[in-house]
Amino acid sequence: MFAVLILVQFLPSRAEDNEHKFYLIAAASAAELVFLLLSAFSSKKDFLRDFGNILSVIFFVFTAWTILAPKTLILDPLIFPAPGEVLWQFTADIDKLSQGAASSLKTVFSGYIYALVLGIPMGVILGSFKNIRSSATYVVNFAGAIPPIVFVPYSIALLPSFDVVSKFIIFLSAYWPIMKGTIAGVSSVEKGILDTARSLSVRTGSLLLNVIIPSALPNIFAGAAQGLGVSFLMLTSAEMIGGQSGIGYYVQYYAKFADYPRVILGIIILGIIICLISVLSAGLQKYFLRWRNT
Amino acid sequence: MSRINIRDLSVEYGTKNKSFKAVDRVNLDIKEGEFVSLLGASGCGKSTLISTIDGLRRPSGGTVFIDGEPISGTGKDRSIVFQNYSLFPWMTVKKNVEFGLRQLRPELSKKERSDIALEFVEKVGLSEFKNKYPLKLSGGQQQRVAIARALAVNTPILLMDEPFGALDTKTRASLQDLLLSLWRSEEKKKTVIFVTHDVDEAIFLSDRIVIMQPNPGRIYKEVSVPFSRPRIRENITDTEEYKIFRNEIINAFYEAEKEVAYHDTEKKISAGNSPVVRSFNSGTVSAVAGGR
Repeated sequence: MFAVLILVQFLPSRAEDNEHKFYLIAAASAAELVFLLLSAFSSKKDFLRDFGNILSVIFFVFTAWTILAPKTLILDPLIFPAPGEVLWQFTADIDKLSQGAASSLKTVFSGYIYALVLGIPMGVILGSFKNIRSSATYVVNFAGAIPPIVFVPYSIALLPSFDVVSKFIIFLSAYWPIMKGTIAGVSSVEKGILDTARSLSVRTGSLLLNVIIPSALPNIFAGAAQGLGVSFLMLTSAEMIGGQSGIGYYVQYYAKFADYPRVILGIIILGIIICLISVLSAGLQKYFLRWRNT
Repeated sequence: MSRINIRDLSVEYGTKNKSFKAVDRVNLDIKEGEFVSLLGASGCGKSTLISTIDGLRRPSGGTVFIDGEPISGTGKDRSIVFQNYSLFPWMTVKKNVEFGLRQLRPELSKKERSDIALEFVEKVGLSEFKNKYPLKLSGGQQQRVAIARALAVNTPILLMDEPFGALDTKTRASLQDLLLSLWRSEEKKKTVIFVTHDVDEAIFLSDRIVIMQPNPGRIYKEVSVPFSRPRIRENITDTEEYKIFRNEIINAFYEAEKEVAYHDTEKKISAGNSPVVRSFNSGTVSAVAGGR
């Protein structure tokens, strides 16, 4: 696939602007080189196979893209710029992008951390006390069902800056799944486990820390992962609606000028960031839940 | 210290509207160092009884005395092993035993805890699994860990609620042997109450068998086991004596159930409700209705 991709780059082009194809060739070669080096030195067969397959798919997409857009002009080159063009834009805009990414991540995490810090303890409280829980369920179901984005206009009126609004919306969207996950986990601790703990005369604090929370951790993680997903969704929405920074803003801003290499670039970068975050969160989950039988 | 006296103990389950007696006025005396089995079919209240002795459940009437003192909840003189979920799955084998020690013997240093935990993990033959998590072990291995923890905390009373109920015959036999040898090897023997519905298990392990009957759960009969210790499985089970004794226990087991059936019918009829629907004929009635 690598060879095909490189060959395609040298086909005669119908588009005028084809000057950045070497960026693609360089990037593809680097990726291929990394793959070859890994194959030579790593023994993780599954990982190598997946890595190789993914690389082939990416190369295939870029090949098709090259053929359809700059080479044959079946697709309009204004809307579908050459892949090399996008890569070139990346090297040119790397400062702007990293600032945007940093700003996006900062916004997401400050909202998300508040959601964790408030959602987990609230979940533990509601999960532990059946009486409060049964009445709180109505409130939770009602409030949690409202799409957080609908609060944007009102929050703009209430809160001092749009940055705070974004954080608040992210907090709201992550809060409900995190709290619901925690409630589910805490309220469904196996009776046998609780009996064992009681029989060992475990004190309340220790019970919470050593028994209830670990037991609820799978549900807490499920809620947290769901919350993280919604957070990014809300983040980009907020940035596109009224943000002044961040990747969503970058995409929205350049779309106004029909600068599609940058739009595509922004989309790809956002995808990569979200992928990396999910890999990280999956890794954390795998570590903390290593005791599970999966 | 570890003498147990149970006086008029009743335990009720249920809500305000509907309650039922799981244990009804049970009286039982257990000597220090005695191994007693509670034997009965499901629903006879044996599990309820043992968890009440542990202090996990509050009696609706009567008292459990340990060395003459009434209990009020769980205590450091008792530990319990359940059929399932005795272990904390997020702690390794060693950590599970250490956690028990931290709770029931807080005077130990960290080092002592670790040493004792390792000693008992070794005693149950799981040294090589000490850093594994329970869910990665087989059911038999998990129960070994539970036994290790229950013995490590060194409570004078050991309560076991069908601990081998979910295991296959072979594993079950080897754990019975392990339990007996560990129990016998202690300088000061623990008082053990062991819940089971397996007649052979009850005979092999105990000094005395308490046969229970359901609806409401109460004691039907107490029988002393005539076989001397140490018991070797093959030597005992092949004897004529064993067969006769086993039959006696099985008969008692069935009689206990039969008497319930009688007791039940009688109660329902005397309650003045339509006897046809409420008594055993209900099976026939519904069968006829279903046939139409």
